[in-house]
Amino acid sequence: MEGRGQVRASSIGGYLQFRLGADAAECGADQARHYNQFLGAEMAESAASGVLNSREQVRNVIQAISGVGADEMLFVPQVHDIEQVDRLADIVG
Amino acid sequence: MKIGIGLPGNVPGVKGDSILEWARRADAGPFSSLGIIDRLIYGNYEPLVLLSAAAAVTTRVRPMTSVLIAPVREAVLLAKQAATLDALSGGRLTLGLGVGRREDDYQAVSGNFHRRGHRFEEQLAVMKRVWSGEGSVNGLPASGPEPVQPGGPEILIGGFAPATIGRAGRWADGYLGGGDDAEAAKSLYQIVEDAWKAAGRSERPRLVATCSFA
Repeated sequence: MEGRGQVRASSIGGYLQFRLGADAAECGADQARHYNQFLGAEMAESAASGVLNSREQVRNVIQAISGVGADEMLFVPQVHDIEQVDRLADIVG
Repeated sequence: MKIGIGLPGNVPGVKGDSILEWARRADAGPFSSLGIIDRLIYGNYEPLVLLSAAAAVTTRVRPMTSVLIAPVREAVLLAKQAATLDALSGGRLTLGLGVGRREDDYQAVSGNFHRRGHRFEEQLAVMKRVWSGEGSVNGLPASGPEPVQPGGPEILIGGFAPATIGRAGRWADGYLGGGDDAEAAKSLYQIVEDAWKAAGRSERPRLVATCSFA
């Protein structure tokens, strides 16, 4: 998930790290592909391309799915960087 | 609409303390539930053990399996584990259940992949009996602890086969499925609502959608 800017600084384990939203997107796609490889290459690729990674995508999906009657939307992470919680919270809160 | 977030226990290599911090932040944030997927032959954390730890560091958010592959587990033991988690979390558990799609998970426990639907149906009956205190199996009495939620934890059933959706109508409080394709979800939810009607139920199913993010 992208942070507010394109480049985000964070301190993890005492080291200052720069993280790009694009990095998270790529890692997330790799994870979705890996997890779904048992379904075959085509389905795995479809899962990889379905990983949401921008504020706009998240908001659009929420709007669309609430419009067809869902009571709850569960966002499943594909990367484990703790900042993902705060980024998603910023978008949906 | 409520917004839930999955725990990152599905991402191989994640550290335990990182998952617990994720749970604490989600509990302090705008999220309604903490989901987790299930798989045996993969590097993910075991869902009920993971959610038990998450429940211990949270007070509000609902631990939710999304979904647990029921037939690779033993029904009385699963009912007992779920009742334990419901009791420990103060009645917050949502038990999402399904049959999965991976034969290797069944091979790992010497299960029968081709009879998974039939076994799931039997398990649902056993678990409901255990939670209500009626009994368990083989003429044995019910097993405790008593769940906090009357009659057992909230149950969602996930999956796409017509038999699965019919089963949801007979046994579950809601359905888990559909997600980033709203049109597909709309068709699916219509089938789910029809299954509720076919089971003679007047209330609406609770509908939980899922999608991935990074």
